[in-house]
Amino acid sequence: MIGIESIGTYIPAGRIDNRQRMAQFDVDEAFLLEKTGVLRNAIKAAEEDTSDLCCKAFYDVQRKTSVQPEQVECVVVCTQNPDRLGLPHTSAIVHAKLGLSDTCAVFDVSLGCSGFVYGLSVIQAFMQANAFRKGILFTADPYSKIVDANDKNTSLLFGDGATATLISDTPVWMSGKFLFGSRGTESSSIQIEKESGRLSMNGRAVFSFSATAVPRNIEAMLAANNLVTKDIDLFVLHQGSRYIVDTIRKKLGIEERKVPFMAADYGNTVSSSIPLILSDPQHKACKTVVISGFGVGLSWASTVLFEVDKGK
Amino acid sequence: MKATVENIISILENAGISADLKTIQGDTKLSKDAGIDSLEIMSVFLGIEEKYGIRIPDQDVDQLETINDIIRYLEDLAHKTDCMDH
Repeated sequence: MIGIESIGTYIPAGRIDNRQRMAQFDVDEAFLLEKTGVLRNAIKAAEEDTSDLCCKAFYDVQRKTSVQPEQVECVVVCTQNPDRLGLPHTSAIVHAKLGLSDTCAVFDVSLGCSGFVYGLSVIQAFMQANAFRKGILFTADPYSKIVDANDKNTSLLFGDGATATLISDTPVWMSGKFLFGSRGTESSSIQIEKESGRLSMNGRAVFSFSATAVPRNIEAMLAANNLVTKDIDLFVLHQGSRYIVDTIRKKLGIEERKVPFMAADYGNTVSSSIPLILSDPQHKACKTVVISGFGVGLSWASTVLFEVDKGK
Repeated sequence: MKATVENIISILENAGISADLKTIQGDTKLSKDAGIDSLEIMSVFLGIEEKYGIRIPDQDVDQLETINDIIRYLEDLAHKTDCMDH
């Protein structure tokens, strides 16, 4: 029995206050509050690299559990903004910094906003196949490395953050069936531009995709798990923006209290957005939780988490 | 693909725009005059695409400022489709 035991998080202390950039981008506070939903973007320190964010999230999961580095049998790092240029893989650098054992398997997964859901399926399957008892799924995708500070489409949205999810044989959450999707024909909708090396995003294409593919995917995933929306206590949707979360919620006909938007103080942290919400103690009473990630690729995935012993 | 002002207003309503619908006429500029913001506009055009089963390219969206523009665009599209069918 493999599942999520605990989630450690790290959000850098640095912030960019979007209220001070309203004139630059010709937006008002209502737009920030109700549309992007992001008042401040978390930003890592210049000397912090992706592996450092992972390590700090690991120290948090250590504080929450008794996990020790020598117990970790595998590590998966989900990032598209690795240390250096991705060679060596960031998980190898994390392995060294945390002093993990020589027998620990480590590898990276290249995915954006769908990464936590995909990564959860990958690490659980890998652990089950190899009879591992403890592994860590890291998410760390500091977009401050690639965002153009003058680009309204992206600069007001993205923030830096990382999470470390302890997957173990003493889980608190078990996952149901997963449902995945990809649309490579629209992969240029979110990409790094060749010339500038900066992130570009076609907001309309990403919105249309999110507002159509994601509700369909969630409904089909629920059906595959023999569930309907009213069975679910909490829907943790990737925090692309407040507007897209609200749009998907309305399409699914779910009441507002079940679909939190919690990125106002740190921004869209890409693959970290879902575990950041899952780790929040205010959701402790939720027994059946949908998680849905969508974005870069275009790629999307969802599953349902059941609290162990109390779920369906 | 015959659309009316009422059809498009209904799409604006379903898109949940924050602007006052009563102030919007056929020739009202949706962004500049009615104050429909960039994210709401995406929702409006998605609603049009879903209702009429079409795909409106980004470069065309930039030209469609009013409801009348949208109605003319849909009529032109229907005309082109008819011509191709015959």
